[in-house]
Amino acid sequence: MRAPLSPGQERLWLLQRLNPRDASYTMYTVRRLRGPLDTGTLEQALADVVARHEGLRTRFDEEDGVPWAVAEPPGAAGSLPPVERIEAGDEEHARRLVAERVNAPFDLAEGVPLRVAVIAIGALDHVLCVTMHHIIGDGWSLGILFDDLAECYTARLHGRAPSLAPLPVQPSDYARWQRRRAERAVPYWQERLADPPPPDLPCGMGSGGSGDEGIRDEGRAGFQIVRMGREVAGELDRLAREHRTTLFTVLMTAYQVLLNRHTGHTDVLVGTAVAGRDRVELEPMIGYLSQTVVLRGDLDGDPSFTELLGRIRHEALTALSRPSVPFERIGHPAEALMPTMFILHTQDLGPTRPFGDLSVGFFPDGYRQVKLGLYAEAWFEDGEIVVSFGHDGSSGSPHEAEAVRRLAERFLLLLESAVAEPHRRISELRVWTGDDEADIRAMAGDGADAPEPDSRGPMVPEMIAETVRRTPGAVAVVCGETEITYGELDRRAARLAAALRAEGVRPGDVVGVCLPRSAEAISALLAVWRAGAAYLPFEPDEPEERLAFSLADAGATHVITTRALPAGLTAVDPLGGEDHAAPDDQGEPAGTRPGDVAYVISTSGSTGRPKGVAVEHRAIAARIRWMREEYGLAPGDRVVQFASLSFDTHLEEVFPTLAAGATLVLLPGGAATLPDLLAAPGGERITMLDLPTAYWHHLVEEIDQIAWPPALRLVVIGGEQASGGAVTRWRGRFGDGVRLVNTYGPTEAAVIATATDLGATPYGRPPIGRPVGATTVHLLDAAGAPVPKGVIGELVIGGVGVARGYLRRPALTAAAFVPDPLGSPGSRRYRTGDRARWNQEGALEFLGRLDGQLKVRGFRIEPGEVEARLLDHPGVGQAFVTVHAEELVAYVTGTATGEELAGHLARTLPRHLVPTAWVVLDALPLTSRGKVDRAALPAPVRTPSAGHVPPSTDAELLVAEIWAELLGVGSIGVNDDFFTLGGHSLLATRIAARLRRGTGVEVPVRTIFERRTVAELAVALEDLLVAELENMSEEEAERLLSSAGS
Amino acid sequence: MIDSPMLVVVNDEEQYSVWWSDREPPAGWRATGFAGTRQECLDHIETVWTDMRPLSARDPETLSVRDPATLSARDR
Repeated sequence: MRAPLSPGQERLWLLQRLNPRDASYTMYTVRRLRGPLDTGTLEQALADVVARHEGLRTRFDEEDGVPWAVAEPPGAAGSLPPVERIEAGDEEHARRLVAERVNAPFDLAEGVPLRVAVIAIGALDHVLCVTMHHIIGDGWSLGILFDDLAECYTARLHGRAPSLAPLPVQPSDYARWQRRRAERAVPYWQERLADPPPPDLPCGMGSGGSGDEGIRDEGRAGFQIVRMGREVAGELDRLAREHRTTLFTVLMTAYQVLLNRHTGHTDVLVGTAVAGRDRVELEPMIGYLSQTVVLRGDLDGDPSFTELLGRIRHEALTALSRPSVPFERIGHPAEALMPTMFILHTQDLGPTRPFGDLSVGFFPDGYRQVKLGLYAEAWFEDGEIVVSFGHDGSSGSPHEAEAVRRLAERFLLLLESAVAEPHRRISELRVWTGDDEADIRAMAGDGADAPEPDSRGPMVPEMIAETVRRTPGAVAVVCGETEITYGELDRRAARLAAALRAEGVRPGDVVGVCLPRSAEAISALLAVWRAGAAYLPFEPDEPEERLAFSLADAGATHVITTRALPAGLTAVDPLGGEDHAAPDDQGEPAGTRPGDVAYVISTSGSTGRPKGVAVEHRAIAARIRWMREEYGLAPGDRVVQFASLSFDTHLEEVFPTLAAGATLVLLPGGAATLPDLLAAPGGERITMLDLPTAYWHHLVEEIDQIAWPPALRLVVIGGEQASGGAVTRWRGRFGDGVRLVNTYGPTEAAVIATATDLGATPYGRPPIGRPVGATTVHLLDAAGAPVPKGVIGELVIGGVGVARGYLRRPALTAAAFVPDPLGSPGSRRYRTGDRARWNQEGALEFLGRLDGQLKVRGFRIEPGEVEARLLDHPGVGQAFVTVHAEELVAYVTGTATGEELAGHLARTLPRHLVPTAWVVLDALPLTSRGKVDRAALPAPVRTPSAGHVPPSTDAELLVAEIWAELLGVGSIGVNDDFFTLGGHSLLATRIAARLRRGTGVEVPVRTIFERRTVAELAVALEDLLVAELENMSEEEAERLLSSAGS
Repeated sequence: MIDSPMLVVVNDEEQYSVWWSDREPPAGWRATGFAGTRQECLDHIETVWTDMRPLSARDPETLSVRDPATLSARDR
């Protein structure tokens, strides 16, 4: 007889096919039978049970990829499972034999997935071990099997017929029925589980196991078991009855609170298993009837435990009565829909029927299979509740067991707290243990600003003045062919400072700096400080409207620039002019006060306007001191100035270098020309690079094509999550030879706040380290309380680096810069809006944003600012801005085209805030909760330009092929423009590297920018090849030509 | 974010922020007397915090006596 499978069976069948060695769906019952066991009678009794239950006679055949359940008729030859009889030397041996069996997988193609072993420890001491694949039986079925076996055995011993309940339904009937029911339930689950929250789990579970960087160490998997005493168990039961619900609902509510307190999520998905035997005729059947059902908890608004209990009770009543459907039908991956489970076992209460003359007891099963990243199971034992937390090794941490152990202890603490004070809000329930509290204090960082005990040390201008005094003849700045000594840099700064004063700049003012990458730009920064003012840097091509807005916002009227400025602003020439070199300006700079503002950085503002972050001298001085020390900078170092001056990363490059008397090497052709600089004469002497992580990732992709300087000793990265794969690749090339430091920090906390060396440890998610000097980091939950290891909280930075605030934004400043109860009296700390956790090794892991702020190629972007600007345009109805494949993408409705809108934005926004991909829609897709449904947004599609001319020459074909791969665009024509197709500076680096790999010719990155179409770049490539050939011997030329043709 | 009742608080540098109304403000901070939702507190701060410079930085000619670092920098 052939029957279809139930939806649940189909899923298990598929999972077993995908991973045949997975034993996590092996079900078992293990009992110790003491007394005179009649093994012959036992085998006959087993035959009775198998004859009674169709499921125990069912095998699974495949036909054209479709599985069918095939049951042998009762009593048929070969329908009986083999019974193993084993003599165990002792109890220990018996345990090993049992553990081997319960941890063994089943091959579903091999016949009925049922095995029975009778292990003799002594003449009157046996262990019965029955194992089956979950596809033929659930936990409830194991109880039935053992009960029926006991009854049949007893009946045979007494020579009577067994007394068993009628069995009107068999698994094949059930499967057909369940298939129809599940089909009808699909719409309910699709609606209920739409838009699932990100699947964060406590203790970093799953974080080492996602994507290609996954680390799942099965040796670290296991179970952490805790016990709840009778008294608390009784209280929990009473709490359940008081609220007309079950112990399961109370425990499920507590488990959801546990997840909420670890992840901050108020939308929580937890799976559970229900028996699925709500009809009386299903009760005595052996089969896979249990259902995996997902409960979606709404923990919003910090409800009391009892209020949440009411919500979960309602959810459980609604959800648990419905048949579950395979996750594939709901349209999201299983990890997203059911990241974790909580199960309360109530059926496993031990034998209820006599088993002949035998006394029946438990025997250790040694089960080791972990089904999911993290899940909890609870059951009763002697009036106590036992809770077992299963974890699968996917955190990537060697301390996983300890972390989950603590999680289990926190669960107990939480339950105790909930029964003691059920009317408390969930954020107020006790959950952290004494060890947790100690960790919180130990990990936060010291926050002290004192390299020496009695002095806070000089401010940055004084550090640089000291270098000028010590080594006036040393080279401070290299820009192309130009070299500027410290003495000359100082003279230029003095002259410009005098010019600023003469133009009316006073101490405490803010002065704009809008200059191309040049030595003048560096001396301008120093000159502003020398005049007692703070600098506000801009991109050289900053749109005029934004420049004017930011200056007005900062109350600035003077700009050091060679650009023409709007009316009302005073331009100061960067050279200052000879006439201002008054003798008194040649001396020491006026003492810089620690509380004065050193610089203002304009950052993207979510309300549609940029906001100026003002940072004081004492803050940046502490950072520069730490960097100089930590990066080991000294005369002789050559540090590339990569960052645009409009971002605060430039401070990390410029000032530690100048304070140390080392040399700053500029990139006059733009940051993207770094590979050209490294390959040019002098490039080999570079010792330190400070790069945006996104850019570094691209360089590592082409690691063999970059002329890494032999002198390179340190690379600092930051700005985005570093990829574990890139770190591994980097270390494969450099090992410990070049130090790799990962840094993290917002502009509001003076460039960086945490740092760590990325060393030999393999990483799932490379950490961002620990607080740097004079800095504290606390992770706070939604109620503002610090959280311990493994728990996700908002990253909050204290200490001397905290900025003064946002210029002329009192409410924004007051909201983000809040009292620091753990700092010195009256001090403030900065709430970053970043989510993070302390990993088990005591380093911080960055986990994204609490709000919608984006990072695109290292640039911090408030999509709200771009959206607000788009909505200014009369041709735009709705706008939504997000990131896709390293590109800023705008989804808009209305009549305007992407091209028009890009032009509109370019007048008011800096280039990195202008979307490069545009999708015009009739309407933005929304979820049932009224949010933009990100999953329903179409990916932007690039269309090559009209008038398509296919590439024809070898060079054109090569260029087009590389573009197509890196830009993800098919059929590129010779007149297509690199930037129009979505190219950006990071990709330009890789295009150059690929061309070099394809031809052996050094192609400057600059060329990619200058020759923007396939045709132009192909001509440039041919020219370079010709030039190369002319400088070669014939033999070398042959080799080059043959490699280029391949 | 949990929307509990908040207070407007201010420190000795006359910098404003918000704090939970059921918790004592940290050392160096005092309540101004304004209370409300978080947003109401922020709206209030937007109107009362008119000079955002810390008290010690308001007069460029006057050095802060509270800041020992300033004195040591000047003494050298």
